[in-house]
Amino acid sequence: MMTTAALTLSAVLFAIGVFGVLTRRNAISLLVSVEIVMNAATINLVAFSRIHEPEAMTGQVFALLGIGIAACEAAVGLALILAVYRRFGSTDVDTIDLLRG
Amino acid sequence: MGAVLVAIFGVPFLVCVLLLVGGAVVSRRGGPAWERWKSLAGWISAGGALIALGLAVFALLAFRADGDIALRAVWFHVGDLEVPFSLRVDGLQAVMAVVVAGVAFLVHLFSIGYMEGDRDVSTYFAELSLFTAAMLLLVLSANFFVLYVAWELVGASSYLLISYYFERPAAAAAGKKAFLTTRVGDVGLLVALFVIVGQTGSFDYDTVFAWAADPGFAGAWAVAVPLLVFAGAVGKSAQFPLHVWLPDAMEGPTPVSALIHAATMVAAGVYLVARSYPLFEAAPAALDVVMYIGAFTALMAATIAVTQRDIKKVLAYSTISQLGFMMTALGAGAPEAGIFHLFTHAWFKALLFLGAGSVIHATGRQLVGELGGLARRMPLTAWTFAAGGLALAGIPPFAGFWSKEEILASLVAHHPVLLGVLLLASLLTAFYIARLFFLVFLGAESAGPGPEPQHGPASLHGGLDAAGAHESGRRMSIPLLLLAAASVVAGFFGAGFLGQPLQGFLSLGEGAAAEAHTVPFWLTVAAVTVGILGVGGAWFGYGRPVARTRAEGGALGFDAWLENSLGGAYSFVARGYRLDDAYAFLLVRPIVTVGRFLWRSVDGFAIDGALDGLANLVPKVGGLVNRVQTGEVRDYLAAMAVGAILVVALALGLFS
Repeated sequence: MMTTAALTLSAVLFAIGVFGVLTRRNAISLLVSVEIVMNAATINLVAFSRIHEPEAMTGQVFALLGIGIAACEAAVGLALILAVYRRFGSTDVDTIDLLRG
Repeated sequence: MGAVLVAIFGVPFLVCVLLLVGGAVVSRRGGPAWERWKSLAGWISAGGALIALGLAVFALLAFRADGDIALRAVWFHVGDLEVPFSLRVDGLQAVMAVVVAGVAFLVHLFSIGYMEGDRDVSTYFAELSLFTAAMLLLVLSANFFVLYVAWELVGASSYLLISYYFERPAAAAAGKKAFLTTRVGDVGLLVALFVIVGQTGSFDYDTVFAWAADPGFAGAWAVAVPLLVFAGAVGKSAQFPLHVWLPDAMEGPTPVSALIHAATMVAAGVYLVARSYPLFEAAPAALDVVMYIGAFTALMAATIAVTQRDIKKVLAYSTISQLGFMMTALGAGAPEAGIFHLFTHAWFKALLFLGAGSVIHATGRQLVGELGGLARRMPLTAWTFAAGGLALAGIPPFAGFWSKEEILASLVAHHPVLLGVLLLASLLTAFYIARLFFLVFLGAESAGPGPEPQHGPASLHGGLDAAGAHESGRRMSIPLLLLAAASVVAGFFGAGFLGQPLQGFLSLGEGAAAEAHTVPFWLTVAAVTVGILGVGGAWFGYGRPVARTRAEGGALGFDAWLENSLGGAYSFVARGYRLDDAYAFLLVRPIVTVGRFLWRSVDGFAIDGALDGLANLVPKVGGLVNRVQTGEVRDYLAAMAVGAILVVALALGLFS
């Protein structure tokens, strides 16, 4: 019951995150959406850990690790966005297509 | 003694290497050093030839005292086959070595004067020395393998020397033609060697000849092997139908024509047949082929020579004709007579060519129509040329008379028809050489400015015309005098009334030697008569003051009459029986057509097309694929999301 709720929450968060990623044009909003997707994954880790190996606490440890990495990622992402803003004067990802083939 | 044999061909070879390396080094420095080197090169080269001549004479004398001299070493092994490097001197080979080295030395000497001031005499003399070395190796070899190596070396150096003026397209083409034409014959010789080594397991002359003497030899090989060997001789000795390269080879410097294309290299084929005579003796049919081809060549080339208007072309066809005489004698079972004629011919034909070279050097012209009256300006050239001409015409006591008589005598018993053919050829021989002499040395001096000089050395003298001609320097006249002396006395070495010392010395084929040819008196009378008739006819047609008036259209004296009365036949003969045209039609054009087809259709269209198409396909495909790369972050994310959904769907088994 408890795990089903956790997994449902995770799925909802994931869907919101993906929706945000696909629809937002602002880079910071994109970053926020990606963070939401990551948190959905973290909840999944904890939930499955509780189902399969409650004593080992593996999922919880991984969740802490994931949060740490997410923090780093947010830092790098924000730095990139800052650099992009200085270069283009905008954080609208639709106007930035230097890698077009 | 072995060391002497090695030195005979080794010295000219080292001279060649020295001149090539030295020339390469010194020419980079240029300036006076290069000029000094160029004037030195000829003397170094002539010195090498002189040493070779001295050693060859020494070997000849030593051989007479000691019997056969031989040197044998194993060169290399191939499987069970042992390839020897062996040299020897017997009668035939000693005589050949002396002739080759002797003519080579005189031609080297003549070349020093003739080639003076040429752009690169160092290379010229290196090539001349290479030829001398190769030819000496060829005649000294004691096995077929070394002979074949030298045979090809001779061909290669001939190619180099014919195309010496390679900046002229005609000379480059002539060299190529000579190389390719003789190659046709060389393949025959090569196949013969395959058969020989396959059957006997050895290259040595002695082993092979012992095999030929074996009664078991008389199978299919007995005819095939000599004919294949003869094919090589046909190519090298310019016999019909492979003679077409020799007239073109006159594009080379004139001393080269004298050495290679008159006196020595073209004699290699005659030597080869005489050397492998035991093979031929086993197959009378093969000997008949040699005889008939020789006789036909002798007559055909003599008729062509009558119609030629270039000094060197006349002499070239004369050479082909005389080689035909030698081949006829070989085929008729008288190899001594053939080699005797080779021996005398080498001296007087070299003399005639060097005389022609002297004329060309002095005037810068070589068409008889543009020459005349040179006897007053160049008495020494005229007298020596006359001596060579009389020797060629077969007027006693000059050399050619004795040897030609021997050849005719060999035909008396069994081949009266061929005797008639050769007598006719002798008549024509006397006629064309006398015609050449009268047109060049007698008559009015040609007036007007000279034509553009055609040859390298002549260009030095600018537009010298015949009126300004002068006798060439001493370096050129001494060889002429020596060769003239040889043309007078060489015949006595084999003269019948002296007991034919040369023929006894050669000791070729035992059967042939036993059947000594005595010359019937009527034959001597006939031979001299045709000679005098030919010269007299030429005097009537070209020598008399009346006959020398120039006709319209460049035809001279009797030529105009001949051309008018014979019409198409005359031009047919003048164009060498149109053999070149026939080859062009039958061989050259089909090969060029096939080559062009392969070039344009197969190579140009199919192969290049396939590769170019492949190369063009790659950017096209890339252009299509690269549209995926939009550079829009959200496109990539969308693709990622779709991918994730698909993976999830797959994991949930929605597709199964």
